[in-house]
Amino acid sequence: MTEAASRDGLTLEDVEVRVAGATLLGPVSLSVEPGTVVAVLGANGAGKSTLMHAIVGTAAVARGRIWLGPAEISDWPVEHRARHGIGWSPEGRRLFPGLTVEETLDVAAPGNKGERARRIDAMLERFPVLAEKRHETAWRLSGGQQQMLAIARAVIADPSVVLLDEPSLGLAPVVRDQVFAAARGLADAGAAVLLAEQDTARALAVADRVVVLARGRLVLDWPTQVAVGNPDFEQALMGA
Amino acid sequence: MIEAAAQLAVNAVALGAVYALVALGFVLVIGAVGAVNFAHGELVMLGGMVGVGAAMLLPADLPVPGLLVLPAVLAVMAAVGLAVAGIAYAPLRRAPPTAVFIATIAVGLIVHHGVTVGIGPEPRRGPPLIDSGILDVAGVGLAHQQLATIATAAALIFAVHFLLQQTRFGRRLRAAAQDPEMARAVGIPVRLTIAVSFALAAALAGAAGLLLSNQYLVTPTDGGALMLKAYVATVIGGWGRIWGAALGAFAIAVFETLVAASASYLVAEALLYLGVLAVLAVRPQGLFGETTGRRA
Repeated sequence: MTEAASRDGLTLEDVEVRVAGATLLGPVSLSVEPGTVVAVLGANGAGKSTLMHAIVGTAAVARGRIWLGPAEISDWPVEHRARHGIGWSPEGRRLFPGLTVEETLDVAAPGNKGERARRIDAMLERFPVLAEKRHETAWRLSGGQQQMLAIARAVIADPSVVLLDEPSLGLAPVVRDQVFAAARGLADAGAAVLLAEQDTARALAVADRVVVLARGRLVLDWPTQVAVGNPDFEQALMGA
Repeated sequence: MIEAAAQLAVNAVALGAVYALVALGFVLVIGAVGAVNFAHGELVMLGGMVGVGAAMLLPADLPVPGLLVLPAVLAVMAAVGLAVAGIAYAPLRRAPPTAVFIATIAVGLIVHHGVTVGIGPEPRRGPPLIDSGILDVAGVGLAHQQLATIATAAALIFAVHFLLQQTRFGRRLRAAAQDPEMARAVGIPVRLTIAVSFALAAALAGAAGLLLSNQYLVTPTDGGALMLKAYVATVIGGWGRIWGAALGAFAIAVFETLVAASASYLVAEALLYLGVLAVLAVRPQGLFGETTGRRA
């Protein structure tokens, strides 16, 4: 308990995910401190999304432990993790297509009606592109607007840990820049941000640390300034 | 002639409103768990029987017996819906949808045969909603019963619409229906929304059973045909689309009433199912269905 009480942000200890006897992830040990962005890089199938699912609780952890601050959450149900500080913007966004922008934010916001309205207004101020689409259903939004909505939905409860899975996928370059700026802004506001990305250059531009996954295993965990330009990092990425 | 046409129109609207209640409940469960509740027709029948039983407990000379038993029918059937969720869905929620299909078929059979064994196979007449008078509208006499049926069904449909569209619980229920895993990941208690969906669906089925039971009587074998109509309404309206299913149900009732009046009920049934095949051939997504997707 002494060790647990000293934790902050997100910590994974030897986490493994197995499906039908095959190990999809791990063992992976990783920590994300509050106020930092950790970029998770790796090829398709390297285990980035599985890592996110394990933290969110939508993939069962076969071995190892996950900590949210001082609390071990390995056995917590998905909704319990969400209510206690895990915000997730999944790959493919997975918005509720029939709900409007306002309704999407409302279902994810905690508190009474007044508190939720205050949080929704704050989100629309933070993501102005959504403000003019407030009453539009999610499936009618552009790809960039949908991504902003997915991020806003993930952070409206003010989570201490934010997971962004491939947030720039399929977006125009200018919109990508906005998405990465939003990720950095979340960390600057105090959140621990885990960013899984294929766009290595943009991810490194906002990350404090970078980890590389290959075939489900963590092969590198360095500060970004050490990794950039380092041949061993390039080698690890090539092999991922 | 005008009076007959007006009464026919009122009959069609009344039947359509009741079918819409049946379809609403049916599609709520499809949305909530992604599986068909094949016991839904039996729940309509059971609601009618509960209405018959509850009315027997009331004094004989009450002016609005049907309306008085409606809250009891809603409450009893909501509890039945929770029981169906607990028996036929909760233990199988990680199993493929076919397991839920089969479990709900079993529940339907249990309800059907349980009612037959318990009170016999004879048709029963439910309580009238209100007295059996005629309302004179511009020289045209319209039956109080039909008008009260329309008003009651419309009030229930409006209440469901208000719940789903205007309350946070309804919005969460819709979100959970669209993507249960993602809904949990934003903190929505999906098991609760599923349980409420079953309860609400059964309550609506029960109300429909009560509304049908006075004019059409209620028989333990009624469930199958009602289930089929709810299924057809959902296919017409666009699979899983709540208001599409209600409109589909309304279309079925109008069609059925008009064709039955000019030919026969059997012809109406045959043409209805031919019409469904035509709809599926021309618009597989249903009359009111549309393709939704994510924009790049």
